[in-house]
Amino acid sequence: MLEKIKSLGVLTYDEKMSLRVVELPGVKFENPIFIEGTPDVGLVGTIAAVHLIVSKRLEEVARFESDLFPPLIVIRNKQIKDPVSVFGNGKLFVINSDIPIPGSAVYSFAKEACSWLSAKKPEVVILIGGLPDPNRVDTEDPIVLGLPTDRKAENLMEEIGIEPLENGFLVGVKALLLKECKSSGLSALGLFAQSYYNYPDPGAAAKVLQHLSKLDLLKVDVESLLKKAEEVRINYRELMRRTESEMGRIGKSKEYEPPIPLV
Amino acid sequence: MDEGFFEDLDKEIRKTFRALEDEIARLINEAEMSTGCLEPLTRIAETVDEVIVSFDLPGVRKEDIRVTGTERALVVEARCAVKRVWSHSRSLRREFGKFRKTVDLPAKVDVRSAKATYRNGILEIRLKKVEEGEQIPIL
Repeated sequence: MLEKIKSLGVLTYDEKMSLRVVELPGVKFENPIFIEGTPDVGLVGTIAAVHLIVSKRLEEVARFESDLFPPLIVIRNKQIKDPVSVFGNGKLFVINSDIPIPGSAVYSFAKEACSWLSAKKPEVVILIGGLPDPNRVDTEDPIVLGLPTDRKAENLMEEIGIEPLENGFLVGVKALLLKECKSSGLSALGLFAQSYYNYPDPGAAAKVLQHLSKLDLLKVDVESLLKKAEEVRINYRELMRRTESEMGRIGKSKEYEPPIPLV
Repeated sequence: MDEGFFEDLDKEIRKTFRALEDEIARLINEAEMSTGCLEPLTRIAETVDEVIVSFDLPGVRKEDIRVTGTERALVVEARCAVKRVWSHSRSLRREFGKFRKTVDLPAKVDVRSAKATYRNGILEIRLKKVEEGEQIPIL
């Protein structure tokens, strides 16, 4: 079986692990920027990631395989696809998922994703998510906060006009990925927009993309996303429902709480 | 008791919950497919004296929303201006043009106190709780 997988692409990392990244042959990574947009609060990251993939016409270049994922395939335009994939073009790569990462796979996913990312020597890894806000409906212009893992990512955060997330909890894939990136010395920046907890939030995704558009490589037409916001909210409904269940399992509501002040 | 007893029990409980969640998802999906009505995403919150229910109703005009209620439940129906289309193939296509959902409320409410607002595609209904029980004096 492993030989078969190897013949399909480049098998990376520990073959005994229950999670691995399989690259298509011949993919070049030129100190790229990685964007991570797996499903989370308000599907902010996923909506932003898909908009980048479509706008930049990025091709699928790798996939995450795991026996910790549900036993499914995605059928898109008559093609068999994996639910968790990487799209890219040499300088820009986007990690996207059609399923919420199951709670049981979160640790392996963060560890393996980070090992794989490290090997690609990225310029920076940008993780996009939502910060749940029960009063989101009253907010026309959601605030985006950043969490950098090092000085380089902090400079980037300042360059794109984002203030730092100072106190709080983060739970789930993005939290562990940020921790892994920090431990591995990878420059990573978490970007979290004020968002609905369990409603798809294209407005919050657009706000993150607006900030990122200050970088030439990530310049996209945000207006086109806002124009189809209602369609996006309807189309992401089922994924949001599944993601909400998964968020409940990993204790995501902790993000509403402040940490103990060390004073 | 076996060392792995609690681990097995935990796995079994998680498996049961997942199966239950999947069964709920199947029921929702089947109902949606057979009626062409989408079930909106919903959030229920409670304060000391209110029950707050919100519904995600994108692509809906305010005048196309109908809400009815009792002391213990709310029913929301709405027609979508944006239709959801799912094409399995050229010959198998599904269309969804309405939202419908019944919500069981976590407390008894006074329906006449209900205040509903619809902003940015979110319908929010606030209902006053009906006081139940009698105050117990502390001696």
